[in-house]
Amino acid sequence: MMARLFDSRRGWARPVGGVAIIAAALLIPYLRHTHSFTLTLYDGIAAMIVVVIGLNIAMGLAGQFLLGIVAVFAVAGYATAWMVAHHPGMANIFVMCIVGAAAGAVAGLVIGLPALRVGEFYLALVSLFASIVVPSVAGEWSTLGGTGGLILITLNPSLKGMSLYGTFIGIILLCSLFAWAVKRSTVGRRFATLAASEQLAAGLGISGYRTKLLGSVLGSLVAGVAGAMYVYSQLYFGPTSGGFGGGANLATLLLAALVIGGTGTIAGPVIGGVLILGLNQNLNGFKDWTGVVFGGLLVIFSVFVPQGVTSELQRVADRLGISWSPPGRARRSGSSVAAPPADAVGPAAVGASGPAAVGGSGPAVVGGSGPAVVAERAALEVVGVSRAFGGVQAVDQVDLEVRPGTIHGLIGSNGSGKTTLLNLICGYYRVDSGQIRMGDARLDGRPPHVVSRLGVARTFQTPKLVLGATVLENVMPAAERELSVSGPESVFRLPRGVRAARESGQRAMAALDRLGLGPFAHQQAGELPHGTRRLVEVARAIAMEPRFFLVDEPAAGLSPTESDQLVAALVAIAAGGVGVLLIEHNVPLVLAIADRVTVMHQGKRLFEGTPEELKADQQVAGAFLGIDIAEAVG
Amino acid sequence: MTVFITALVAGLAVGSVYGLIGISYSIVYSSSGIFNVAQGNLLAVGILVAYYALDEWKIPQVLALLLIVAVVVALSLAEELLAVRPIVARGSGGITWFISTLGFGLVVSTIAENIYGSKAVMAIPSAFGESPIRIGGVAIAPKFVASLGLLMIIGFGLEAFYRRSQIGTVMRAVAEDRDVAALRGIRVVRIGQLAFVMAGVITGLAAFVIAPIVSSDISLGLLYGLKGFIALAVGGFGSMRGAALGGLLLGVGEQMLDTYWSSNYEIVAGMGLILLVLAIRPQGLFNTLRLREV
Repeated sequence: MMARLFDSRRGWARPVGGVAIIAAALLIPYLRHTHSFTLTLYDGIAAMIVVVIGLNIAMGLAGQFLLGIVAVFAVAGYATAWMVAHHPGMANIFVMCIVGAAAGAVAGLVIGLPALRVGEFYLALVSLFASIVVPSVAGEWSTLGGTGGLILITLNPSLKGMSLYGTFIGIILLCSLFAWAVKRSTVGRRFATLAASEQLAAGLGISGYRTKLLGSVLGSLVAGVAGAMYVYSQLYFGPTSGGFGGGANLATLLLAALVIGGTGTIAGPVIGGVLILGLNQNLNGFKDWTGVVFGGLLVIFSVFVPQGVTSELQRVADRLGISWSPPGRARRSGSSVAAPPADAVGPAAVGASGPAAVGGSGPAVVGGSGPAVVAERAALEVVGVSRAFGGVQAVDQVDLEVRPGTIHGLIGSNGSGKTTLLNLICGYYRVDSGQIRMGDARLDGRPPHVVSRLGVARTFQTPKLVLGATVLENVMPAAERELSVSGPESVFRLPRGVRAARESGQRAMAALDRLGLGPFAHQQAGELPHGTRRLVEVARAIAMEPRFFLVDEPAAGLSPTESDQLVAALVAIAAGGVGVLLIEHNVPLVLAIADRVTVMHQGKRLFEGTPEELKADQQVAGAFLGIDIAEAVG
Repeated sequence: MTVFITALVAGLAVGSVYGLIGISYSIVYSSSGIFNVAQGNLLAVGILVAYYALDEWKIPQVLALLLIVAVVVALSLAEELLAVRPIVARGSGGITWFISTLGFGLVVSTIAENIYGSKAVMAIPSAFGESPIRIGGVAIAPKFVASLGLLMIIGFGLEAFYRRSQIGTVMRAVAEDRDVAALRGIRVVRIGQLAFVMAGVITGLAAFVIAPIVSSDISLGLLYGLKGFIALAVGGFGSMRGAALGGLLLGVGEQMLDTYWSSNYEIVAGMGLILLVLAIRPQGLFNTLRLREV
């Protein structure tokens, strides 16, 4: 297991290869031109590539369409230009980059705070509007030079010509490295979780709003550096700075660079930036029609190549047998990978190792590593909870108690309110009346990410996974929750961050192994069949080391082998002191493993007792479950 | 007082167009789950056609109207086919359609601007003449009234259409749940196309009434598109009345800033309004129906 976790050393080949490509792309002007005017153009392009890297952090990693990145760039550009116009002594690239980054981060925060309260394209459109408003309002201020902008030709910066260009290449590499460090950190994993599903993120204890805001701010920080670079190299900043007429057109151009390069990849912004911004520079003879080219490219890429050039290059490289990425991640699509490779992890292999592993090491692990679970013996109590949707009383005065270390089965026909009850407990819906308690702590009225942090884990009826990430990366955010490592510690690979990453990797791996999923750890979640995805969800919940685990129809769509594994895992989890609430249509399965059973019907609790009592209660069993329980159980 | 009323009337007229674009968004969004960012660019194309039909070729107003609507609808259908349907069909999450429709809008706008060339902005004659209507000593050009009138007709007409007609009910069903509607035998692709046609007709009509007001300024496409979005966001998604009122609010706000402060800061009105709404009532001022959990 350890070997499997740490031989991700081979992952180094990729960043190194990426850096080499980036450096090569950026060294082109060294070979072609040395004319100072041309170099200044290249410096400008370099600055805009950094904006694309910032856009990628917000959009590609955190899933936030921050087209207001142009507004951020403008704020940072004006701030640094204004600063050096008044204090020429501060015209130092390092100082300016710091100031630009700070100004950019503040601008990103100001745009993000209101816009992120609503979702997705809302941010895209509002912030695109900001990209038009900020430069045009700045163009009205005489302090900022009006429409003419701030002209700084009297400055005499110490870096010029090739040394400046070289510095800019260095900054691009640093910013790419930063993006890479963010992506492969606890922050990046939270971003990926959030980008995949807000409900999932909340279920893992991640605050959606704060995480989105962090995405905007980190992206804006980098775009702010670009503002400073632009000012330093062009000795000017005005409303149309950045090229393509500024404003919304510039935002579209930068978006094109990112989409074409490859959203969410590290090399993508640079490759796309060089291609698109370079193309823009060379389309002078075709100037008026440039928009057609870029608009057309946006349509073509989003329809045919949504992953961008970088991913396509990778696919080609894979096909040619050039493997510079971990094997599980190499193949991204195609029907051939829909089923796991038979040699590595056939059902037989899973069946053999899975339950044994669960039965053997499972309870010991949970019991040993979760002192909080053992110490805290409070039950999860639902008292008189009701919730109506419109005129439908979905949940009506329901009581329920899940004790630690037991499995509580919740059964009932479709629409009887089981999942609604689960959503009420987890905070996805608000209760109309009643209380939900865990010991002294009230759960009702709290947002889902807080409920999750208090120790309530859940699975979803339709498995929610980050499909583009590996199985291990899917489970790690759950394991990281308890480690309370700060973002900077993780991003900048400080000792505590490194330790936390290693530990969460081990915990995640242990959780996977308990379900026999170890062999899948480095495979992409999107390649897994449905049943395996469900088991990954269970592993993820185990990794959270919850006090209570609410499972929504986990056995649906599982093969008999997988179902056995699941049962063994649930029993082991409960044996470790966790209270399990099991919603399941497979009544025999529930009656076989549950300590107590609640039957719901039309939003009301119809029965509560042990499985034996339920079997004895022929009225409930026959009339409302529609089965002969005695026969079903045998 | 006269200044105020003039600003108010101009605001209502321009705001009506924002409202109409907001309504166009809403129609497409509810049936396809996508937001056609190119809507404003399509309006710009309509203005371009209006210029050629009325200034260059001097064809009768009725024919010009038909031509504008035909061109905008044709482009809408092309957009649906090229930039929207493949993405909706792929069913991938995220908002890739945002990128493709933004790109389509840029293509359309660039072509329109190149066709128009570097000519100065020209006045375009209104179908309703120039003789002002006098209301209490204030002269109001009929073109302003026409714009507001169109918004009223479209707004109430659509509400009736969605509520009363069979096809309107079908469209609401698709908006409610696309998959279930498809299972019920509704051809959701056809409904999506129909939505683009309807949005195209409305945008074409909007171009016809706005052209005499803004003259042949075809560079304002994306900006009008974004303001239409603000109208919708301020009013609230899924509400025709909301989009209309949001548009009027924005238009009047802009004209007031223009009149009492400076035309340079007109654009701030939209930003201020959207930030205010997001701060106090993110679901929109007049939201009645939630199309989708955000």
